[in-house]
Amino acid sequence: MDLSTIYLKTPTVFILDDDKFYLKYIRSLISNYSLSINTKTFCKKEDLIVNLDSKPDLILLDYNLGLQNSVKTTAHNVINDIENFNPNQTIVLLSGESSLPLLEEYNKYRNLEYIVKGQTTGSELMSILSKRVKIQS
Amino acid sequence: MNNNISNIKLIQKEYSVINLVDSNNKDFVIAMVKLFIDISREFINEVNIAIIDNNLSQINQSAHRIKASIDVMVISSLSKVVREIENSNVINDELKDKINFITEKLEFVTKQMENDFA
Repeated sequence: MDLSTIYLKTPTVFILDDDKFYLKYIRSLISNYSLSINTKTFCKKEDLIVNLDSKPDLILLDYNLGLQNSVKTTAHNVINDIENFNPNQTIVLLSGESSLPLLEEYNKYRNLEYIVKGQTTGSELMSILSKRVKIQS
Repeated sequence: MNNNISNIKLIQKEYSVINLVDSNNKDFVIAMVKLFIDISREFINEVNIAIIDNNLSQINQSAHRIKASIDVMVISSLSKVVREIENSNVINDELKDKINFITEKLEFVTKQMENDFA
């Protein structure tokens, strides 16, 4: 066995979404992909931020986070906070919006991957997990 | 109570659990359905208060938040109207009719879910 495989830590994926149902749904998609991935779910950005020291391998971030502490919050606000902690953090946006301008706007800023909430969510998520999360075999 | 979850997908319903990846796991499906019922009631409560308060922003936000869950549960009859409510820019009779439609339909669907899974 390759030594690098032996010491591979259990990968962790954080999910931030203000929709509790969708959080549980995405978590189930990840568990279905692999039981070897730890997932932590958050409805509030502060809860995610204070857990960043556990260094997640991937953060799935809902684009529109609704009202957080009475302030309309989008992924953009959270990305800044995450990058202050770790500028190289892998982040993938989740959104019900499929409009291209949003994607273009973010790809000017940095190369973020993007999953549209809908019928293709499962397959898109599997593709991203296979690229971004190394699982101990 | 219907103990055979796989049969539920074959019955004509206003919703489906087919998108739930672990749809053969009864406990998981029940947990997801209960969660959907909870968020539907939360939505109905929020939009009813928002109408009284004339709070369009809250109506848009509530519709946005439940939109993806409606898609996951394949409630096709609400797919279009929830997006129209999310993108509404004025509270008028047309919007109120749409809100009435979605709340009545959600009440019907959640009752159907309770009958199937309670």
